[in-house]
Amino acid sequence: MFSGEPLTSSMTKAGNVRSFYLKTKRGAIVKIVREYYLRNDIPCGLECSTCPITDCSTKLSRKSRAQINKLIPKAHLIVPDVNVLNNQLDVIESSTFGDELILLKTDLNEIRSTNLSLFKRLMDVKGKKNIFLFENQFNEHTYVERLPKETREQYIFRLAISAIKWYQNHIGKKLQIVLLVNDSSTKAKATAEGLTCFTLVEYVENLHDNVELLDKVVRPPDEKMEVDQAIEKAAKFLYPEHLPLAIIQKGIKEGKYYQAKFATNRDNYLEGSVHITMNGEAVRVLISGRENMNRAVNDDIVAIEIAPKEEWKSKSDFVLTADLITEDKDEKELEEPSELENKKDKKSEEGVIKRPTGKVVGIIKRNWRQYCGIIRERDACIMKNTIITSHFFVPIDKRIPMIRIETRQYDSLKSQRILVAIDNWPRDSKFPRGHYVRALGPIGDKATENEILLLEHDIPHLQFTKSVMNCLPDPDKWSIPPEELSKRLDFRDKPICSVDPPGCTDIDDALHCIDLGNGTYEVGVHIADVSAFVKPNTPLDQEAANRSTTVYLVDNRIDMIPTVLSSNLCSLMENRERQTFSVIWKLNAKTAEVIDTRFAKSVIKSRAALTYAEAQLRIDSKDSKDDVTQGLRRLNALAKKLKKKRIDKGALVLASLGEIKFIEVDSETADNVTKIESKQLQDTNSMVEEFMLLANISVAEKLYQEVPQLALLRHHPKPSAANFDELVQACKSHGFDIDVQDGKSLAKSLDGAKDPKNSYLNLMIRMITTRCMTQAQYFCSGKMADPENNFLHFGLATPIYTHFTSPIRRYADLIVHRLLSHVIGDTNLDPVLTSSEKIQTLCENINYRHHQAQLASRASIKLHTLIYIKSVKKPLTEEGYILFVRKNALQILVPRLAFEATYFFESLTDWEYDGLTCTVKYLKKDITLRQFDPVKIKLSLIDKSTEFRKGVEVIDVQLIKPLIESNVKAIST
Amino acid sequence: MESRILLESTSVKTPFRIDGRKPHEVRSLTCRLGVFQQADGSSYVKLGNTQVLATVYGPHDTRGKSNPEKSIINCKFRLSTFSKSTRRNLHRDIRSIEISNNLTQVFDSAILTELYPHSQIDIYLEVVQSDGSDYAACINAASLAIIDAGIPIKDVVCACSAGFIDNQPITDINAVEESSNGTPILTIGMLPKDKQILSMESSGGIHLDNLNDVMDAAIEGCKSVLFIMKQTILNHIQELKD
Amino acid sequence: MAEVKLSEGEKCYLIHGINDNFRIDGRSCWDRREIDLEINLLPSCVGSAQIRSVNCSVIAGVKMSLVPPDPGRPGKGKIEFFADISANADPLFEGRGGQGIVVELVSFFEDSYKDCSLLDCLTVVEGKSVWCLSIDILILEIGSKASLYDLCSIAVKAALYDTRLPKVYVNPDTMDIEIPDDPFDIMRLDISQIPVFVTVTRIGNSYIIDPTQEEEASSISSLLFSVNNCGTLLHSKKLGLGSLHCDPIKELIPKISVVALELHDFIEDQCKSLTS
Repeated sequence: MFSGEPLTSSMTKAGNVRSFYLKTKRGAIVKIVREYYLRNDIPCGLECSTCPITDCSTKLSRKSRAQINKLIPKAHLIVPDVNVLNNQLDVIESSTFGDELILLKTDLNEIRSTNLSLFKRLMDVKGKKNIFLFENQFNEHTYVERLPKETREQYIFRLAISAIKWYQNHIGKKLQIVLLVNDSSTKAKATAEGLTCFTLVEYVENLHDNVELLDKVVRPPDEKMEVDQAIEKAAKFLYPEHLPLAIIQKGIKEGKYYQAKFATNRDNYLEGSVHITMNGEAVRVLISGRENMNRAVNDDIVAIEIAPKEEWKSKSDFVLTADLITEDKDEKELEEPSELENKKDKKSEEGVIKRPTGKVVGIIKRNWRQYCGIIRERDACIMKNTIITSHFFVPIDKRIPMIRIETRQYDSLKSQRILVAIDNWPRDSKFPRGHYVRALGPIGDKATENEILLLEHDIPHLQFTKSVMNCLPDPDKWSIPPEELSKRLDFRDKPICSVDPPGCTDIDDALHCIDLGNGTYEVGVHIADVSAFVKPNTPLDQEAANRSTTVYLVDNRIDMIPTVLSSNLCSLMENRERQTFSVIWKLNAKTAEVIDTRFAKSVIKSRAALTYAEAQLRIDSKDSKDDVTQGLRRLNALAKKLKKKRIDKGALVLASLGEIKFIEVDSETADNVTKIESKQLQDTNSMVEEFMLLANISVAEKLYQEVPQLALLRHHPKPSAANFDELVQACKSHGFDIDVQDGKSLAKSLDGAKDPKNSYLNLMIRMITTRCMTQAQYFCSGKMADPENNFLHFGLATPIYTHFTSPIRRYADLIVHRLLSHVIGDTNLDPVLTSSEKIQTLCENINYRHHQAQLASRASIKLHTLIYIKSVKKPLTEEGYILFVRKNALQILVPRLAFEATYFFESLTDWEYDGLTCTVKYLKKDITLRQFDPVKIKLSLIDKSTEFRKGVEVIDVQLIKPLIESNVKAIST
Repeated sequence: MESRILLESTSVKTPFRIDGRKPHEVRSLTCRLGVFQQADGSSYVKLGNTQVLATVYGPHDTRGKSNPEKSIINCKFRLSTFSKSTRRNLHRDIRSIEISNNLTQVFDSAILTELYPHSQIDIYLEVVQSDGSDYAACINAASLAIIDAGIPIKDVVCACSAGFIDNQPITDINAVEESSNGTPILTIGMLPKDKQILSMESSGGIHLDNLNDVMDAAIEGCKSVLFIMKQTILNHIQELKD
Repeated sequence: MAEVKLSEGEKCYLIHGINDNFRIDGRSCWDRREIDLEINLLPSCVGSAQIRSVNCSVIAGVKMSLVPPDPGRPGKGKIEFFADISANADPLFEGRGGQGIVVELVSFFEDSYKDCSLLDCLTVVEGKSVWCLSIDILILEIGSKASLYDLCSIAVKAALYDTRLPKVYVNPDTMDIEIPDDPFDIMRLDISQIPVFVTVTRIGNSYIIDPTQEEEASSISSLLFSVNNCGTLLHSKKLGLGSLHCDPIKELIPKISVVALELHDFIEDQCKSLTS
């Protein structure tokens, strides 16, 4: 009836309408209508007289890619099609592939809607390279309407063809536009349309510099395979077929299948488990065996089916490592000792709690990442005579299966750590297929191993970019701005001091305590005001948000914010004026009752930056009567009262092994010798801790009261009784009853579980308790129902909790600072923080990074233990305690090294296992070993390179007391 | 490796919006005057896919109380049952009542009501297709219908919406942009010659720091809209003359 | 729909004219005024049409949903009607002012479409799931009430002609309903059997169709028929006050089927020319 007039001349057609039908989540079918505008002012990305000037930074050159490819020596630009982007991103990403590329917006949209994680990676690549994004979907010359009967793939391809035709026409003959596709049938179609088109394989093969690239190419599944061959092959399928998504979804709806994240057992790669909610209860379902796991890789989202109750079994008591894998004569087939499973000891199974088991019926979402590892070494003779390009890649992560890769660089890669990605896992292949991504460095090199550690834990560890550094002030010229001084409370004359571990450079908290008379004390906790430097939405803020936490490794610290801030401008150093965010309480001196709480932005000048030991000394020495010392004494007394209150409420004291420190000493000899020093706990440690807890709780209460929808809090859910099964059983065998009903009774029964003969028993029980519980998590209060129960911090026995006290090293604290600053009316709230969805998104990233950081720290300790043993150059004899008894191994805790060693039984027939009493009997000598028993072990390094896993140094464990003879000789000595 | 961060930095920065417009561009606008025979004044406005019909009856006798000083303005806004993808029920729609009241206030201020004491002017708005910025389209449609009815009005009242997505202000929000989570929307209705704002309605929470930019975007939009509206009026008069 | 008040003299003039087959706007008794039909104007509807004839304007919009069928009719789809008179037509209709007319109109539609053959092709899974078409009739302007029925029936038929339903596929394993990715994989409806309404108005001693407001003001009464394309009468009703003699009605019947078939042809021609 009415045709429209475009308002702007560059919108060439008014209001085109695209409509389609959609099924909503509720199952209703609706018609969706979208209006779109085509235009003639879309830039082509080149220096061009007809196109409008591009406002984006990417500029393509007319001399791009000249002389680099044999197929097309002249200058050309390449456009990868959507399949290439989907499969060959590693090739595109690598530097030898060339810098300049055109990406079509329609392809990008397709990837965004089908594979979000790939899309994000692609955007990362785009940031690094000179990739021009062509908005072909809005260009009037390149946009085409979808035709009847056309599939989505065909349509996207036709859009690409239309765009390339236009491009070629637009830029003239001097520069060729080349379409890269993944398979030859698509190439044929494109060539028929008159385009210059190559498959990616062809293109890479003809590049002058292609050795590395060839390895990265994902080869398409064999195209030539005929139908009858396929049938023939069907007989060789090793795995059941995955169910289609529709059936899975229906099954999940009906309660037949469950959706869950698959987790492979760290100690046994042929066993995995998932956590599901069955009949309203959280249940862990065991999935064991290759066939039941059905090609699920760790972290995949899978659909599982529960096995009938008769088939349920107890948790596998085997510890399997790749070391046990023996090599089959046939090069292609690897066999694992599956018989182990069948040899199950029937006797011991009775009476042991049965766990539900299940099998994977389909994969809902793959969560494959890139894996670090090594190439499995092959027999040198074979390599000499024939050219073999098919190799096995052994990942470092024990939960990941071996990956079959193609490489021509075997000789140079065999001594390297490399990065590999999984491409696919067909039914007829025992192992997944993948391709080489890049080499990381020589095996055993400390820098390489450290990088692997960071890569494996997905820790952003690159140097801060220039744009981040530009957000920082010059530390030499910086002082607190006068307008800040006037706004902030002035605490510069108060006797404030900080207490931290020795060598600490990022001091984020300081304390003071003054006697106000009338039996009341004023206590102040002063936290570095990082938010004064890190302003919302700056590159600095975004980088910090991404990192979310500082990661502490044994010999390295990966900062969340640049050192200028963390160790200088934000750090509350002695005698420097610093901006802080303070919590000030009025406390009853006798009862430590909080009478009044205040929050304020402030400035302080720390009188002393003490270590725990120094603070302890000051408290203990009778002569010191200065303000700071007296304050410390008061604080110490108050802290003890606070702690008692907390313990009375049911707070758990959960131990981990005392932290240890590796100190490198430059010795006379050329090699660095590492010494181990364990950190000592002082009274003052817990003094600081108590006040930090109090500050965190006070802030949490305030936030929840003022902004109940937006508060960023931390909770630690109460674990279900079933989680404690292992703990209860272990203690029962030693005659201790553990009451897991609530925190208070748990704390009490843990205190009771002591053995005068075994000082580490209580510690070990507490360690096991920690492992039984879930981790504390950050969340946004507006996104969590039932605050009464769900806000609980079980471990600290407080109904509400957050993190406020370490903004230098935790992003969560920074957010809490911003929220609190808004609450006390100091600053306007950053728009991002006004939505609970956005806060929740932040929380999820922080939780993830936090978890990864913990894993990385642990891995770092392990790595350094290994290096330590190596540096000592002789086997270590250590006192240890049996932490767990397994069917084929003992897990032994070595307190001095804070290390858990695994002792494998050499021959299973010599050992008799009893799961009920947690004991194992060595039949040859009639020695019975019980959980928690003290043992003496010898630790030595074995270079496993002689076996098929090259370059893996493993800590070998031998039992000395009681002595179990071994046939294996340690080599490194 | 999978990165879990979902900050703005990972979203594709492109100069174009979801429907191919640049941030400051208004959708195509079509206006018509005198689309009904029986009403005293009527108009049709099509802003992108949003379609509005407006009619004006009056000034006529009041049906109830009358005001000896001025004319009573009665605005009624309605979204048709088929205006959106899913069929909607008409009754008890608080939002419609609110918009009706807003419109009443806008035109009470704009029309020279003191010229018609003891009378009433009815303005009816029927949104037959809703694709975002309904309120702005209604103000424009009502304004044209009043002009078509020959009722004295201070100026051509024009309106446009603006929002704030991905840290930039955008003009004339469509339904997809409206429904994306947390998009703030500001609609400004104004008397363009005197730069007087008659209506300023926002929802979704705009940070005060950004308000200026968003307001500017809306006002710029008003100017583009006004251009088309004026042209429509002139063409209509020309047609009447011929 | 401003009230039209006629003096006796005016009425007399008008009635006499009609008796001689001359109407005041120059038409003969069985002439219709020009009809302006448009389809596919509401993108968010699966089908839509607008019809205008001088001072009458109606929009019809079709929405779809999947519903379980009535237990007694497992293989039949559903069509529901809603009508509404916009205040645009007259301030009188503000709020619920038009309810009286609307209720009559909707019930006449429902009765006429009760056993329409169209319902049979709306089945998705017999006994489980059928299409339900919700047809909204929005009356923007009213001339005479009698001609409103005729025009509404044309608008609805045209909107149904315009209707495109997605072809749905039922997954045999899960019984889930899936929609094809191809936006062109759609189903059109066969509208040939759909009835049109013909209203004949008795003025003086003659019957006329499509009365103006003035004519309606001088009429005795009207008769409303719903007729399908085979000339079958589906439903009928007498409108308004007054009484009618039986004999002339019998003479009327053949004439009505001629008028109805003309209308059917008109719609089909118009729709075809509009889509091409």
